[in-house]
Amino acid sequence: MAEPGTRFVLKRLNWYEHYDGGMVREGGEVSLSSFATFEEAEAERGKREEEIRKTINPFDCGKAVHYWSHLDEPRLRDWLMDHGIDPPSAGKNGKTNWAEWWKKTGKKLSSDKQLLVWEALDKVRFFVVREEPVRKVGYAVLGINWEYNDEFYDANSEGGHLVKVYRSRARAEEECAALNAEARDDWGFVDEFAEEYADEMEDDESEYDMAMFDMRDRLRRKRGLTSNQKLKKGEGLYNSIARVPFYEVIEVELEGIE
Amino acid sequence: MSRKATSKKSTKTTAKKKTTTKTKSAPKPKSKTVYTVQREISSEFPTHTEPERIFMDKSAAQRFADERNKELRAVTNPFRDNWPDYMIKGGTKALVAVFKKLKLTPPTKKKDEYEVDWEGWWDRNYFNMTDAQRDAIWNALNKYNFYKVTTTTLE
Repeated sequence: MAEPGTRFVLKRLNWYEHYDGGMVREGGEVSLSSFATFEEAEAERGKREEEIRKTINPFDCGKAVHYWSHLDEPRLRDWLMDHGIDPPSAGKNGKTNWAEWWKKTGKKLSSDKQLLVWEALDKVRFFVVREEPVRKVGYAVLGINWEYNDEFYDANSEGGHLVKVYRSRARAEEECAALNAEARDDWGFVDEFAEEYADEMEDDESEYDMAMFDMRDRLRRKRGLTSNQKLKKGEGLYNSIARVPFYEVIEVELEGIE
Repeated sequence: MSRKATSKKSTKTTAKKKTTTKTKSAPKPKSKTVYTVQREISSEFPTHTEPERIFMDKSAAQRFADERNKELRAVTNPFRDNWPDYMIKGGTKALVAVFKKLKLTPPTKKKDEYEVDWEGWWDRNYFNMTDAQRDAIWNALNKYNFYKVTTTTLE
């Protein structure tokens, strides 16, 4: 049971898909849900960890052994052999393609042995449980940075410009709506280009193939999606500035603030 | 009374009412300066990571920034998507000097490489370095975008 005034919070660690295709972890974490007991929180963590493992090659989570395990490569090999798992052999260049080995062999291992591999890869964890004091929540208005890449506008995959924090969600939403309306006035010129592109569209092209604003990477990162998890068709793509979010409201914890 | 006159009177009254309303409008919510912890992200425009927590107390925010930086050092390759000129005053020359002081052999540019592969060096040598050597390299990166305490306004 949590100490009085505390709770067990399930958090998602900050992994994202790097442009080279692998997964990369940065600092930071996102609160998902909280529980009165550690056991409940840990059960949910285990469930989520198990789910995500079905979609992830752990050896794609960093380019070298130190991203995966506290064991160096010789010790990792020994550990696996001690547990009845044959590790991959090194190639002619002396390097081992662990990701390829997992892709080919990992699924053939029994579920117990798969679990053992994950146990050795103790740095590849996606969720964590922390006991934390119960905190109030505030609402931050954040400006999203859209950058032109010579073809369309792409939203930065994370962060932005922090405008202000509100105690009330309604106030934050109100301010966010006003800022979005202002931004849409400023960005009106983009719609003219979009209309020109729409005229050039071939019959077999979806309207989303020509979207002028693309925030799919941002949405994927926000939701902690892996490369195998997809967004809905057209989600995060905008043809007209009327719906483009230039500002958004995010929840933030308040510490020492009544 | 003519219709025009009535209209004028009505307008005046509305104007007066508007003034009265403005005077009696709810007081603007009080705003205060608070602290958060963010990390600058390389981007065309000034961009920072999303704030996770807002602090009343600056020293509490600093403790949180220290925690985040400790975590960042544990999970990140400092040279990923980064170059010495953006991480340390004095650029490559200064970084090489740090390596030599730590008795580490810095990477050199190979024939088939466009530039020195610092990121690959870190990955290849991670387990060959002591915790103190890794810490010393991180400590030397005085231009690195670590988590810092920033201020914002809370309403």
